[in-house]
Amino acid sequence: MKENKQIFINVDTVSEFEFGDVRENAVENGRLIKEAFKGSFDIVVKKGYCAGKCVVFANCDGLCNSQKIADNAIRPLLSYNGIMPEGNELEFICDNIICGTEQQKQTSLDTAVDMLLRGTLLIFVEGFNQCIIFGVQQIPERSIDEPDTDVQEFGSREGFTENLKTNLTLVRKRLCTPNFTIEMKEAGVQSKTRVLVCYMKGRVNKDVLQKVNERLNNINMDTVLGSGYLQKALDTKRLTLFSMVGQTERPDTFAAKICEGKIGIIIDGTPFALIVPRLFIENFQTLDDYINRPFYATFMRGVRLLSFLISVFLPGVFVSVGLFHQEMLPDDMLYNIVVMESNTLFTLTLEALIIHFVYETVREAGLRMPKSIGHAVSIVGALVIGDAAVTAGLIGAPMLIVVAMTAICSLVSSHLYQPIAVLRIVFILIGGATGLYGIMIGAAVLVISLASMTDYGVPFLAPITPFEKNLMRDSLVRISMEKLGKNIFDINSVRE
Amino acid sequence: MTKSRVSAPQFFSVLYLSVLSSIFMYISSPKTSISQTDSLFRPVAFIVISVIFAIPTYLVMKTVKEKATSGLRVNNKRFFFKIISGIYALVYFVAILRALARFDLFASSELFPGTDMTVFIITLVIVCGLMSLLGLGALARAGVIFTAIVVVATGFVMLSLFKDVDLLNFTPLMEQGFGRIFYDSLYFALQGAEIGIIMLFLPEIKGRIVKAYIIWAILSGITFILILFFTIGTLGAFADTQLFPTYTAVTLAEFGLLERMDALETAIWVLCIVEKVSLYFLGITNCLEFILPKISRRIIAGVCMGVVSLMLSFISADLERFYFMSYEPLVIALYVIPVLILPIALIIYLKKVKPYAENIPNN
Repeated sequence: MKENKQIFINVDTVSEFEFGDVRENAVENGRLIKEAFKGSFDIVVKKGYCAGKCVVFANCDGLCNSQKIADNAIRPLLSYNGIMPEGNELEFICDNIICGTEQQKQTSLDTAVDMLLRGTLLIFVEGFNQCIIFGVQQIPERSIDEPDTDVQEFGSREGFTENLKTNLTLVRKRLCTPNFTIEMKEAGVQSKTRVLVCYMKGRVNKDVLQKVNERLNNINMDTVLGSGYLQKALDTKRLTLFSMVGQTERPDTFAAKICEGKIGIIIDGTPFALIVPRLFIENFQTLDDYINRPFYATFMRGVRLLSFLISVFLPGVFVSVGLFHQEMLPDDMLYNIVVMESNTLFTLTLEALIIHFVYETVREAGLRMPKSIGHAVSIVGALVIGDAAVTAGLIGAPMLIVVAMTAICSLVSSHLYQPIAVLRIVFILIGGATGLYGIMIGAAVLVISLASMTDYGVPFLAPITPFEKNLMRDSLVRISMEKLGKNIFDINSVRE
Repeated sequence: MTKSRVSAPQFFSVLYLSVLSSIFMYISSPKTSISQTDSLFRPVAFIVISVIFAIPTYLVMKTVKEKATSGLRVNNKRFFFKIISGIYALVYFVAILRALARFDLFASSELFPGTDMTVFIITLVIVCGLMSLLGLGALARAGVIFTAIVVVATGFVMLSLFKDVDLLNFTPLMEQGFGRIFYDSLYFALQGAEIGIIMLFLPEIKGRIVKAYIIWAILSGITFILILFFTIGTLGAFADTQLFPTYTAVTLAEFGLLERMDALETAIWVLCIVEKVSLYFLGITNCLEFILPKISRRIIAGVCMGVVSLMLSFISADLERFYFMSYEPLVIALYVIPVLILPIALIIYLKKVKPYAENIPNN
């Protein structure tokens, strides 16, 4: 019998290169590093002499500033001809020869190599079982741009980048308080991705913090290359379409959530930060709501909620009314719909499914294809869906209007797009099979399952149910900032 | 399993939906008339009777709840409690059958006349069974949202019906005599059999239960008065000829583009059914879990779903069987056993058997 081929690598069995401690022989340290990274031309190991002592430098080219290395470390060291205090050379080098604020000593060569791969310069001095880690990082990054998601009309134009330090700086400058606390962790056996757990001391709930730390510590992944890798680990374990972990690309939103007693997680290499716990109602809130007038903010939140309901239920309801409950419509309207739909080939259910499939395909293509051909696909998509399909009698014009409206509404709350896309297909099928009654049973299942979601002790549907009067002032309704200012939205007040 | 606690208003919102589902699909007894203005007294009697008949439950609550125990599902191996739990499970098992059989009759005679709704009803059973596994917390939280939807939709239909109300349809009061009103009121009060299920969830309800209960009874009564007012006002004597008079009244409602709102309204009634049956399923599962602690909840719920589905298929096959589910002694038994007999039996037991108090764990 043919043996099953193992296609997955067990993370636990992946062997790691172990360096041990820093050797007293500086050249030996350099040799070990060279050997470990044999073939990697970006790892540079260089030998020199400082006041007669052998000094070995190691750095990762491309991750550090070469000019800074030359000016602040190598040149001062190699050109130093003075006397160094016997037995205290390392201290002397740090304090008097090399220039830079970010420097530390390290006895573990493993940690030193980790730091090397994060863009620091390692300096080994002959006769010392410690090395100097010198901060000269210059990791390539893009400039701070306006985020592509989470677009705000009046808010800040700054968005997170892929650089951890930049992202932290963007948050830190908004939260100038010693209560803002950051804990660093690592995730991923191979990637060793740095993860920052951020919270506001005094506002965060200790149990929630402990649970987040536990979940992060228990992550057993080979690589962590994006926020999605951690999102699953931090999310509710219940099988559901919705997530109780928020994502944002905006430092201002991130800072605001931290102030509400939530925990933010910044991950190196991704502009998307995570926030836990997240409430359902937050999908309909934006930072603009706090800049706009309260009545308008409240109105817009209502519009967003209505858009969500339309995008989930409208196609299903249209199909069910068309197939089972025609009596609900006025005669003239019903006549028009019947005339237009009678020329089509498929049943309403099939029509709805086909057109949604085409829409999702065009959307996915628009997302993945090179931008240069985006317009061509848009034109083809618009022509195929918008005109040719109706003219050819494949779909009816009323269905086209319903799908167009649904598509627009589904983009209003972009964080909910994934559940919306799945749910509307489910409701089309249910509506086509059982009419409004089936849709209502489906809706009941949806609401009950949402109501059952509780993570970190916070019910997903709070503060609507369980009802929390104080928090309702900034939920679907947003009262004036003067009144809100006195009562900060505190996530812990809805914990059970 | 850790039980999540729900607030009293959340719990009673589920009971409100449950009792509304009974009135929406109210089948009046052949001996009674719904078209008489005297019918409006029935909800008043409902409030009074619901409050009086809740006294045994209140006494049990006072005796048991003060000890902060798990109510009937106390960690007590006494055979008596298992019997009581078994009877509760049986009563609510029949109550599920009755509720769903009535919905089956309603769906196959009014919603999709002539259509066999068995598959739909079995789907409903499975959905409710699975929802019950999500726990009381989920049902109660969702209940608040459903209550808001149902109240708004029903209020909207009532406003739409306002123009169709004919005051001539209201007959003089006491036309049929006090005895008739008394009998009809008692029979009507049997719609509120859900008050018996409070016993099964006492430890999981936090807050002022008595206050919430009284508000529930009053709000339910007021809703019934309004529904009956619009049914009598729009249909008059015609209501007596209808199997589901409330539904017939709703078919008259129209608003703007929506020429018939009955489909929309009845679809919303489905929410009430889902909540009611899920709550009953949860009650049964809790009782059976207490009796058979070694069997997992999922298996118990699965077996319950299977048995209910089989029995509903059996009932659905013959119209006579539907009528048996509305058989007066059965309806009375479904009210009297959980609301009066079992709580009284518990009180007597708790008072007489003193060692019970020593076995109560302090959780």
